Amino acid sequence: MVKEHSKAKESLIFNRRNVITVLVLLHFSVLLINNLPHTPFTKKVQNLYLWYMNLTGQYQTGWGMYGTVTRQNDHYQLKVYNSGNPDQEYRFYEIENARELYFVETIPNKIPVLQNYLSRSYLNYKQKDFNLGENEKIELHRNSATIVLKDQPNNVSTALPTLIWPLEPEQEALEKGE
Amino acid sequence: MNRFFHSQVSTRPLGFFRVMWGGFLIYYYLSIYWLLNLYYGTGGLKFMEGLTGAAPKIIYGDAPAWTLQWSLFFWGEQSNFIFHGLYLLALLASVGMMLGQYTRVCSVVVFFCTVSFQTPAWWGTNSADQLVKIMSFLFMVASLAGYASRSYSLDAQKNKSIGGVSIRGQSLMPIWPYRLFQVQLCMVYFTSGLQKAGSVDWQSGRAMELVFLQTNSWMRFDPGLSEYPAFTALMTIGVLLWELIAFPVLVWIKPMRLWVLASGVLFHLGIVIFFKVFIFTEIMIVIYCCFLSENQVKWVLDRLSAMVLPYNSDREVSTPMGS
Repeated sequence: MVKEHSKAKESLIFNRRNVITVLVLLHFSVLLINNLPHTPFTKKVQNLYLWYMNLTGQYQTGWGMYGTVTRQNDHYQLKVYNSGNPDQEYRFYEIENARELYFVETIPNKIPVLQNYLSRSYLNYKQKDFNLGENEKIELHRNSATIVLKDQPNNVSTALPTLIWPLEPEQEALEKGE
Repeated sequence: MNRFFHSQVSTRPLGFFRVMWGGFLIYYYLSIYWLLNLYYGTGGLKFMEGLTGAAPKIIYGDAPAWTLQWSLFFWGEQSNFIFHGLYLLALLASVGMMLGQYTRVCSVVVFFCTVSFQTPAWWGTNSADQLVKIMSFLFMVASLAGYASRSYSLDAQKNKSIGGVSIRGQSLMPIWPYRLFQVQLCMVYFTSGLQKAGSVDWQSGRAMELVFLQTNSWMRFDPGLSEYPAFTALMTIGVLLWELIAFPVLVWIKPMRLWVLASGVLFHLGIVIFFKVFIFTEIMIVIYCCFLSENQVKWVLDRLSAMVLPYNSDREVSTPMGS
């Protein structure tokens, strides 16, 4: 009788509904800890939950768009010119695609080798995208200036040096990378 | 607790959400092809000597955050056949999700493909892509539990014809799969607001002014709002309060819900009108579907069918507030 009673109680606790509740609550707890700013606490417990977040592809490093707002007004452009005919006018293209812009924006902050890899990869893609001829060369340009708020003293923005990433022949680029 | 996770609700909103999600996935995969080709195509970034090993360290710093992250591209050499095969599979599974055909299998395929494509793509992806990964996991859970395909799906039609669930009338399901999406959505806004609240620019009310001063590349056009710091300061506080309190709290209050969702749609449309952002607006608006009630879904579908079949006078007209 006692055995039957305890069995019934056990089945009451471990029923499908309760198991789902516990699992979903665990999921929410992990989600909350993983989403919070990293603290000594999250560092202490991360080994307990990171395997779950990583295996299920849920790990993330922050949602905040414009969490830290840059103080630079960057302008990325693509320059196309004819290397076989220096007298021919060059053309500048704006990068309108937001993801492309996001991709090239990461380039200046990387170490030179990485800059080389990323810019080459992107410029190769654009070369095909623009269907450029054999003599036409393509470069990525970044013009930038510091942003100064209106009511700040000496509110004159300073132009930063233009950065240029050309699409070099492969061998040359490899040597530079090394 | 029991009510919060297990009360019975209609499967229709989830079915509608699944259709929207599938449609979004098709759009997503078509728009991201160039980047995936940059990583996994011939001479792709993923397969460049020395680059792959360095990337996780650059992105994550310490090891534990990286441990067990996976991708099918971690195993094996570059192959255009595998890349394009997987890409095609992802597209087909997205169509399957939208139509609700082999929904369980398609949800698993979408999850594997999305994680595989996203994980090694260190540059050119952001938190919106991360959200696509998370959503594909949550949809896999909802689909494997058997709830995602009970309405508005070819699977449900098939079940109907062989005497399945929906023939007995309204199809019901426990609410916990909806909760997974809803809490995830609130978490995105809340932690985004929390992160912003810790930043000096947001505390001082200058963040939006700074954003509106990035006129050269990131803005579609300059509305000149940076000339009015008092207004942009109000916007800064507004964004903070909306992300920290208005959305994550008020969306749970039923009479407020529709207004909160509408404000969210305006908020995201505002972002996409002024700024060059990718995917974030689209995916956030799609996720809002997880908060819709059966009547609201019906109302949307009525409006859509009215647009497609404008002269059908026999239609019943529902109201969005009628839940």
